[in-house]
Amino acid sequence: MGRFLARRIIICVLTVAGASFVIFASLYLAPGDPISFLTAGRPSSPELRAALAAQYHLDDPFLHRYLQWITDAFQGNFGESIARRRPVLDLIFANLPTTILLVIMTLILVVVVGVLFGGIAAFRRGPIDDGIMAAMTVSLATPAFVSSIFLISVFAVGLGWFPVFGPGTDIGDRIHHLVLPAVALTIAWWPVIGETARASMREEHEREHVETARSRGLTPQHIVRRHVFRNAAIPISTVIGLSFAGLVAGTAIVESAFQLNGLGSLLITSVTGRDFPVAQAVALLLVTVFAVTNVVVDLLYAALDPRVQTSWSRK
Amino acid sequence: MTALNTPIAPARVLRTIRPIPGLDVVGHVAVLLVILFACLAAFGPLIAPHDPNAVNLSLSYGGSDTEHPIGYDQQGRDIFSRLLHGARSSFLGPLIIVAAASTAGMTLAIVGAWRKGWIDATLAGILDSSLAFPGLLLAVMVVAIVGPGIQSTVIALSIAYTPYMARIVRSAAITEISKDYVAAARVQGFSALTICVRHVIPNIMPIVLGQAVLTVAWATVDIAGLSYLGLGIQPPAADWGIMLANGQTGVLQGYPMEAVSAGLCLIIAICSFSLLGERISRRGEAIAA
Amino acid sequence: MSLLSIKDLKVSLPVDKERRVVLRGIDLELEAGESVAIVGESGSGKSMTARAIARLLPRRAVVSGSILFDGRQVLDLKDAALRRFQAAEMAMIFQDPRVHLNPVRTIGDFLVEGLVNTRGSSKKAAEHKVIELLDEVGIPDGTRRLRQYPHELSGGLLQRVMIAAALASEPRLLLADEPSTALDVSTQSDVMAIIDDLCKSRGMALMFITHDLELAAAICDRTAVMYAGQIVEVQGSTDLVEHPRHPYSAGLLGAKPNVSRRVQRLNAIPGRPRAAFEVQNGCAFSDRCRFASEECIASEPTLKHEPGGAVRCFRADDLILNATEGAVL
Repeated sequence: MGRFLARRIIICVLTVAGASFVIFASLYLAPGDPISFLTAGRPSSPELRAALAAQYHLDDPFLHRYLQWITDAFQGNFGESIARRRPVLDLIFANLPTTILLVIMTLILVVVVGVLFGGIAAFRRGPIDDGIMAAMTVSLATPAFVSSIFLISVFAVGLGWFPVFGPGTDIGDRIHHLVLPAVALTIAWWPVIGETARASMREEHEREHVETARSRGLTPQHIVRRHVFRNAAIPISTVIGLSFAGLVAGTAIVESAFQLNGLGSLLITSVTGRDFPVAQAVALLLVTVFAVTNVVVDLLYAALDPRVQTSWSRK
Repeated sequence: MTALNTPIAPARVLRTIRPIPGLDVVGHVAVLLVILFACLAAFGPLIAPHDPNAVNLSLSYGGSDTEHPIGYDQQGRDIFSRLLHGARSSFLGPLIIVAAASTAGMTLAIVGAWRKGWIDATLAGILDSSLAFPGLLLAVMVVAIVGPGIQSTVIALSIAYTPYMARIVRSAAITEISKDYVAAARVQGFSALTICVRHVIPNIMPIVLGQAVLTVAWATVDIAGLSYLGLGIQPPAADWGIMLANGQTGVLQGYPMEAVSAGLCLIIAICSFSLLGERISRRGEAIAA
Repeated sequence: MSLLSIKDLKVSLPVDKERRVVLRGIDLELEAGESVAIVGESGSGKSMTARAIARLLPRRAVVSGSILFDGRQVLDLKDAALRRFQAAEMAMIFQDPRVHLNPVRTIGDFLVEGLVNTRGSSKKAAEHKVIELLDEVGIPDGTRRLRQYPHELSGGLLQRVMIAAALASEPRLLLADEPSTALDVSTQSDVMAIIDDLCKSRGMALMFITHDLELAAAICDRTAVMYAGQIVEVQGSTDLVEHPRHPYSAGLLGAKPNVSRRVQRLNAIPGRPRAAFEVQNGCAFSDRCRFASEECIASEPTLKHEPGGAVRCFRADDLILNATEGAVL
């Protein structure tokens, strides 16, 4: 167990190191010299050029520059935004709450809707199952930016139940503002959980050990809860973990559609506004989150499946 | 000789079209829609009744009329013509992505599956960790460096989809290569290349094809999304993603036709490609097993 | 009155839009404390019979006939009453314990689950009881085993756990569906001995499903032979092995070619076993039976009761069958 965990953490660190190197080196893949790339044709004072040269350690050898940059990054020093003349870390902190709240709301919605309808489809064969399957297909094929616009059109502009744009002020208002974005992301992601829930619950329900449980006179509710759902929770939580990265990436689109000040929209505006330090920092942050998520998924898997624990401790 | 002289009656052509055995009704609808979208991508711009970029501000958000069935967008351009033109730009990118990712993914996977050992292990490790990295994010990063445009997004997404393709092909190739006939062919002295090209690749082709059709669906979502964000295809090109971005302004002013029509086109296209892809994959797995 | 009385039990299952008959009328009696074996090839319907009694048939199965357990109609039981019957009156042991135990829950969870949820005993009392039961089935360190998971135990140990779980509810009828088939040869006899001992010492009736006639005879008082969804012969186990009345039983006993007598044909049963749904007119075994007459092909024999058993064969009285020396007309 301990050794397996250590191996997973090493892989995680290597992934972050590799990705961070690519993110760092990408600056030098860009055409032209780094300073003109960073300033992107904006009028630049000699002071700004000097500051950029110092920030990126442009006078040092390449590898040394990378080590400097990554050390600074892990101390929270991501440099300064070129477009907004503010420390990148301030921008990230200003944008983080919206994204975190949006991800939490979406995760709750996706899991509840996915497991609920997946479970119903698993046990109600016939028209109900067919209907849910058709809904999943259409829903999965609806990109988040399309559903965002449809939702704005119907619930914000048409019915006026929700605000059209913006993040809101206090916590209640923030949640109110994030309902439609969360629903838009949920439309794209619940079928992923739903299909897994349906398939795994159906598979578990036909397993022999469920027959044993039935032969012992246990109630159907008990069997579904303690045997079918308990066992299906393993593949379901794995898929939740695996879709987490895609879901976080998806926030970039809905945050832009709803003009929310989140991390994703920060990434997009920094890319379109050619604000490279910000884009680098957000990308590094996201990659780290994804790599850590992978470790968490493995741990979750081990916590839910005793067979995995045994095979780990044997290794 | 007679065949050349006989005019081909439409009814005769229709009679040659038969249902595909083993495919359900939904699958047939998906096939027809995929053919329709392919025709639109090929001929859409030719059959479009109006210039998609002819601006007429006096017709801004004009309603539908006989010549303009869906009406006008904010700048008074014909939405229907723009949709027809958009089909080409919406599918061209995904098509290149699929071709590139399939070729690269298949090559990597088959080399790994054939050589086994550390090559395969390294490959599997890289593939697994790259799956944790969403393709959309990679595309955004590439745009950050190279600048917005269809070329950079297509290259980035081709790279991003390669691991997905390679993973599926790898497991199919491992099963196929472990079959007895491959060992028999090796004993007879056939080269690895011959065995792979003549036997292994044709046998796993249905799985590759299924995954390729599915990839068209997801790449269409990604390309449209990037264009919507202003990172992919650039305005004023007629593209469904751009039409959604433009249409969002109309939605806020109570004219949702442009966004709704482009959105529906996207949903129907993605639906048909994913439904067809799923069915081909399932058939391929059944054949391989 | 018998503990279990099955009358004309018929079952059909849906397969690809059509119905397939799997049981074509089973008649069987089982006294309290008695043991009966049901022997047949795979597909003969022996497992289906056990599952019909335990009410474990697929939901879309169509069942007719009657199964009386202690005078109550098992086929009419519903919901809570059905669960009470399953929980208290009967228990079932399956072929492969490795798949019939939930892999992600501990042995302890499995063993106490029935007692806690259907008997309302406390977890502590239930654990105390199952540790004693584990000792009885030959697993001494019960306390430690309760915390283990199924994959940490061998197949033989798991089957003992299954037996202990079956005993926990103190049932009057034990259904054992090939309980030793999936185990290592070395542990098969141990498991069978435990089942045999415990049924006898506790006065439990046993219905033992197997394809092995010799094993059936060693364990059970009576043996019923099934073919194509019907019972073709029932007798006391010793009598059946020594003097089979039905050609199929004789065939199953593995009649071997005898070199001292000039036998032209081997006594191994030719052809493949018939499935119940394939049977048309006539005796289901007629196409494989070398004694088949025109009557056998034209009409179907009934199960004729006779002293000490019953046989379903027109020619039973004409034939003198001998398992080891071949059949003599």
